[in-house]
Amino acid sequence: MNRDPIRGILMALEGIAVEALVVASVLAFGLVVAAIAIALT
Amino acid sequence: MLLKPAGDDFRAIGHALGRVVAAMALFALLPAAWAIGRGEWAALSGILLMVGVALLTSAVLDHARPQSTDLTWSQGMVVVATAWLIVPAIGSIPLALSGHFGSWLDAFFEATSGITTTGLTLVQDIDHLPESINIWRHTMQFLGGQGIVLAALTFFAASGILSLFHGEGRDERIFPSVTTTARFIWRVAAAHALFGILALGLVTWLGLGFGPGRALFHAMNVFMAAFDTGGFASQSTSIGFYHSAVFEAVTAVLMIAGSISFGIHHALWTGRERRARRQRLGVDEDPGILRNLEVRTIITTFGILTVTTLAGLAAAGTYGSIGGLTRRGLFQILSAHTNVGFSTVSSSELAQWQGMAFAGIATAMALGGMASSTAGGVKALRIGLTLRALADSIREALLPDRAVISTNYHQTNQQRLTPELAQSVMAISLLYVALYLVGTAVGYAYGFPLEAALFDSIAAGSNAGLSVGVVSPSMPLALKLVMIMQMYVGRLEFVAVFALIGFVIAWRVGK
Repeated sequence: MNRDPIRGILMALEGIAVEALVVASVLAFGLVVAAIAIALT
Repeated sequence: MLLKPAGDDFRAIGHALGRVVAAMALFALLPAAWAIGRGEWAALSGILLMVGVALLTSAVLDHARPQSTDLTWSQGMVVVATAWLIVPAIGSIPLALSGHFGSWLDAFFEATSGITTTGLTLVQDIDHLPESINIWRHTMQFLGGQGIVLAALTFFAASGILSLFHGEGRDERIFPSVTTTARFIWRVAAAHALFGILALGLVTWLGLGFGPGRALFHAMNVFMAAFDTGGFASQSTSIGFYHSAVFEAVTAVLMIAGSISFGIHHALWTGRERRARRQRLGVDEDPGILRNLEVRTIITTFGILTVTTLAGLAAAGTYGSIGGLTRRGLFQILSAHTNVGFSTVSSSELAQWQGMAFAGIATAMALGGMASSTAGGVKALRIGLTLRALADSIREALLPDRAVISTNYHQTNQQRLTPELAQSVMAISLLYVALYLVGTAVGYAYGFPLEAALFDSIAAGSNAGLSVGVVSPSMPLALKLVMIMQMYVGRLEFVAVFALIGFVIAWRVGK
């Protein structure tokens, strides 16, 4: 692991940003599925 | 022939267990400090009694001086399996003394549910439980998720620890040394704690108007239960209590973070640097995490189960608007698949989710998160490997007899799916199914509806912790015992438990 604390924090933030992006994509996917499901029923 | 364990085996196991119990006492400082700050003296006395018992146990066990503190594989497995019984037994002391549990067994159930990161609860009148006791419940989830034995070994550097690491269900070593890997696991938790507590604290403090102390209490608890895929909550309405979409979104980030393997965390953190280095050295292009078998499996199962659940809810007309359907359906499916067990609907409302929605949530719990994460269940890696092995069998049947099939899969790096690996993966997957069925059969025998018995049994065996109402202080004693067994065996993924049983048999009948 990187021993430079600033770079370490930046790496961690990058990881958490990707996780937030995953949640955003899950939300977008959910909205599309829900819209189709409601439209079809 | 079975070899009877020697005196030194017991001394080595006892010595290591002493360290684990001492680590537990160390973590009890958090609720103890909170109790002092809040003036919860009755709760503090219970916590201090637990610390006293833990330190005494540790001191007695420390007298066992083995010739070598290096643990063999089987000794390590026995340490893990025994530690996961001793820690909830001692950890249940302040819970039992709080007056919020019907019996000591209920408190032990709660502590086991905590340490195994399940989230099923038998607490009575949770909304009036002292804050420090609530923090202890959540601390146990954090400790269990991080790996109590792993926690001990990082604090009291020990050697011969690889088996401890595997015993707690972490198969992946990110660094050559287990201790370095353990430190990385703590670093990931620390980074998420900083982000999670800050974000949740700000939402509750500035957004929902909680006082700063109360905001910190809620933020800490939700972080510990979300990141370590535990699912305990400080109040009866779980995450629904906050009525905040932003709070739910931050919790969702933490839930996903908790259910992904530490290998993937490492890849996410170092991805850019690794790609740059590979480019500099002219090595082949980094395949990236989307080539990872487990990532592909979980994306596929999550996609299918989301469609199933939302379509089921839409067909039943449970939620009329797109927003309501997405918010409730998605949170529950995410909570089930990551094995956290938070909910934004009550258990009686969840019990109304019939047909496809029920199947979607129950299957998501049964499958669980990724291997080498804090999530439980069969796990995506085993599902992926089982499907690969099945595909291989079909290919083998279709190809000429002389054809040799060799399957590689990408998991951190390129690995080979050997027949032995496929066999062990399928055996463990099958054992999970059996574990789910045992609880279902007992629940059904006691007169619970089959669907409800199945749902709560899966919730216990997969350490997911959602419930449709079977789990309650009034449930039969035998069912409580079966669920304690399910939570324990499910979290340790069978191997360490089998090693403990083998050790006891060898002790009794070995020569």
